[in-house]
Amino acid sequence: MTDNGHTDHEQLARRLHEQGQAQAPDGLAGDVMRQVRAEPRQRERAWLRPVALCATVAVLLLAGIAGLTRIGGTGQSSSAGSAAETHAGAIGAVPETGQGSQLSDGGGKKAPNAITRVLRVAGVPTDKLATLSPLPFCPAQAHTYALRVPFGRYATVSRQLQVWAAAKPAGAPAYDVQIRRAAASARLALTCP
Amino acid sequence: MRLQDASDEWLAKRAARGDADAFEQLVLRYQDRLYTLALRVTLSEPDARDCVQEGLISAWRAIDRFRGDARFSTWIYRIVLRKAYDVLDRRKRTAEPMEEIVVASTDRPADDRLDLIAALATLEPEFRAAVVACDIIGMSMDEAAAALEVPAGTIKSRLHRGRSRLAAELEAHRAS
Repeated sequence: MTDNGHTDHEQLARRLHEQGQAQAPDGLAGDVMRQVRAEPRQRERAWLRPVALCATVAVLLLAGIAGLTRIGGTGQSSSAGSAAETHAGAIGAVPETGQGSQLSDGGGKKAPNAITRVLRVAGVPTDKLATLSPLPFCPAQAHTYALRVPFGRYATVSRQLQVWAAAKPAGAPAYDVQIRRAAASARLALTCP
Repeated sequence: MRLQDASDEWLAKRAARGDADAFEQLVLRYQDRLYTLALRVTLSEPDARDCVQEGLISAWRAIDRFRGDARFSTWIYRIVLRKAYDVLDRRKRTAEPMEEIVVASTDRPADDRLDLIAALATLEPEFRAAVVACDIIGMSMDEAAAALEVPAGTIKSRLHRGRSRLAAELEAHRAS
């Protein structure tokens, strides 16, 4: 921009400032304030907003902490169910109360929850197991089967396995069985552990 | 503290707590500037009046959302400018005939003021708004940028081009 142009612009700006002003029409402020006073806002309760926000945050935090504590208390989250089952089986089982000596107790100190519970029944005769499900071909040294049991049949099947194990004739071929809960719609099946 | 002596931000805080008297002080303080802004952008007195009235009512309803980190003036200018732009958009959509109150005078040669305002009215709205905000209202570049919701560089460019066009328009007007 030339000096002349700059001066022109400054002069123009000055003229605009001097001549461009307008006065608000009479009664404008009055009309606005009449409307303002006619619609009283609940300013008195404005302080409630931060309080409500704090309360919401506190509740969410508490809920989060409670959730974490619960997950921590059981040692597992539900989404880790499968891994938890494997782990429970590997340490030799999780006890179910009132079971006989056929139930091995791996000495787990935590109470199992319904999701992770794995029951191990030792020495179930092979011929009896075959009546439940075809026997899978597992590695030669494995003496354990996993039995997937639909949710509704869990108690009956586990009791049956215990009865069979207790009545096993000496020297009869037998397998240990890890009983795992499955969805109610699942099919009862023996698998390799 | 007397309300007349209080800062805009202090009054805005009071208004946010429901103090209508504090808000009234702000209305009295800003009504002329807001009206000028709306009038020079919309080029219509009735529209300008509506923009200011609606803008101030909107501000009262929303004043508890006014953050102290911005200036009250910027905030209220922005509200009224949005209303003014709404008017221009509505006009464009409906091809509503504009009441040309600022350029209607027939005895313009006698009145230099009319020349200037008539020339201003020929600018496109975005250039006009920048010129009005900076030169007539006296906002800084940054404040105008915040009020018009565009970068400061854009304001600078629009202001320069707006003034240039205005100068050319005035020159042509004089020559005729």
